[in-house]
Amino acid sequence: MEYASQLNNQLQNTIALLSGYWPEFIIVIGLVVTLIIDLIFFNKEKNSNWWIGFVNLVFLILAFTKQVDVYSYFSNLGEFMKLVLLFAGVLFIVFSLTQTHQTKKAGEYYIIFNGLLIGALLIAKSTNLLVIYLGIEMMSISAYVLSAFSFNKNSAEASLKYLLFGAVSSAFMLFGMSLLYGFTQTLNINDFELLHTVKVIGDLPIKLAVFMTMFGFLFKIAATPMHIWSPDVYEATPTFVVAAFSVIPKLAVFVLLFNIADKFLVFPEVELLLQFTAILSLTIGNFAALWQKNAKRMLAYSSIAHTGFLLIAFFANMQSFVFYGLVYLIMNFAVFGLVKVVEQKFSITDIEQYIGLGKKIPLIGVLFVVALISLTGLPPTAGFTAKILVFSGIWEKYLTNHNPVYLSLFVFGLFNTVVSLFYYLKIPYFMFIKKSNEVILNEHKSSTVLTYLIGSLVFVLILCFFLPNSLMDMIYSINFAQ
Amino acid sequence: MSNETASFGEILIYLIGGIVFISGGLFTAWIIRPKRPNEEKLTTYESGEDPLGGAWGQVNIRFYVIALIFLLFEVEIVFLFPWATVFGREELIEATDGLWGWVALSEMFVFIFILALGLAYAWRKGYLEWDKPEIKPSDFKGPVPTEKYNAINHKYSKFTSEQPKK
Repeated sequence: MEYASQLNNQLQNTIALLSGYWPEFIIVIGLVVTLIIDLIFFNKEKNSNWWIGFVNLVFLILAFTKQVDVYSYFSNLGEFMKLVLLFAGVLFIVFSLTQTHQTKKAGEYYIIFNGLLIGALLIAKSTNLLVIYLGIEMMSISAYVLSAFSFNKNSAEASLKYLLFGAVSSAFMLFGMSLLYGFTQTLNINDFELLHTVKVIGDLPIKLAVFMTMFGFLFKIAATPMHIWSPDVYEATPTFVVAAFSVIPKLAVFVLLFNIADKFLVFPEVELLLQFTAILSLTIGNFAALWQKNAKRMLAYSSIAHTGFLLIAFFANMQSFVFYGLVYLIMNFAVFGLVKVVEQKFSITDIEQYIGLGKKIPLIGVLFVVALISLTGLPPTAGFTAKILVFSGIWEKYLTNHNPVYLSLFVFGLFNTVVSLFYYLKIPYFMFIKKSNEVILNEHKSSTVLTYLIGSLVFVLILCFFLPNSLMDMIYSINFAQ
Repeated sequence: MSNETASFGEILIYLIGGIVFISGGLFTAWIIRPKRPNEEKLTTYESGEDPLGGAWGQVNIRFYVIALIFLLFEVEIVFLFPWATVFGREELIEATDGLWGWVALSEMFVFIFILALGLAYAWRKGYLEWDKPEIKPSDFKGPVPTEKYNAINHKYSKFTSEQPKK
């Protein structure tokens, strides 16, 4: 009976702890409700309508407010980043809602996005390998489906490629995880203390298992050896979905990297691998972006380069990472939103076709310039502040331990910022400076609400440069000690 | 080596046993069976149907939908059996004042509800309907009259040409 009373306590404990999962529950409930509404009001003949997204938005905002409560209770990095992820989710749905003549299958569009969001939240929260795997799979499978939502040939091709690469990478990751389970007999990362003291098996198998597990994580953030899927997917996928792809999975997996850092990075090889990945992502992302002709493809390579920067921030310190991540979220949503506006107005995505657009749509042009300057990391935008924080962080790290790797991270980061200037400024160059012989483009109506939304995001970018304090205060409310 | 790791040895024994039994059976059959192959015997056996085309032929996408839905409920059954045996223990339910049972029950109901939603989705959106695609006759007018085609079709159709082969 000793066992039984213990069980009773345990059960009651678990039920009490469930209140920490309210945001996830609300999203699941939102997903189910949206699905039921979709099933009742729409069928094969009648396609889902935009207001189904509005119902979903209500649930997401509810989850966001709940998450504020949860964060004020735990106030650790994971809960803060969940707040950020939910914010990105709200932003995505608001952006999508501005397209009143929404895509085909609007119901599925929002439902599957909710799946992606739940996966990301689980990853950011969990320290159990099984739940991490479930979260990553949930996120990936939703992403595979969402990347097919342009419903054309390119989109199907990109989706299939993404699925095949993703399946291989998660197979590697799962094998690595199973090996880790075999070595430690636990799935809880916090019990991995023993990992580097298990001497029976020797170092090599453990390192191999850790490498394999990392392989899956790095695939999700599109770090360089595992980045090949991203340009195709970014080019063919609906633009707002790309904005979500480039932010939500990335930030979630980076939180995971922070969670496992002190357990996995005990091996210098693993640390070196990550640092090498950072340098490689930066260099390859930036140099490949130089040759791109399609705006979305160029931004795909730019987001690979930003993965490199985020990895540098990961090695610098948590504060700079959080700042960079937040600014990256706002920048990316702004830029992809602008690409969408141009795509909608003139149905073009090639950079060379942007020629002379600066005169036709000056507001969009100016917003583009500011957002791209921020992505490059020049003043007066928050991108500059974020880069300053990252570089000073990594420089301090170098001064304390004199590890030449940190110095090379610093140097490569600076060097690549210069390289990135060339391709980011290609868009303003074509829009404003290059003279064109009047090309006539068919002009369609585009959403003014969307333009205002992007305008406010860009305003935040400038505001965060002049007044970074409010953002910094928010970041310093996180309890980094954990 | 701990107990759990050692118990993987049993799996190894099963693996070896399986390989030995299957290869042993096939080997014995190979020795004692008469070898008189003919065309009928060498075709792929598929539940008595005559195989059509190669294995790389395209399969209608609807089969996958049916297979997926089948899998859905297969998984449900696989999950329900251990659930019933592990969570249906009377002494645990009594000891926890019924809480144990309620928790297990509500969890399973949520699970089944979401699975059922999946089926409802496929049903409502019409993915279970096997409507025949409408084949429109082409407006192409060939130089060869239709009667000749019909004559050729008749000549080589299955029912007329099915004479026993020598």
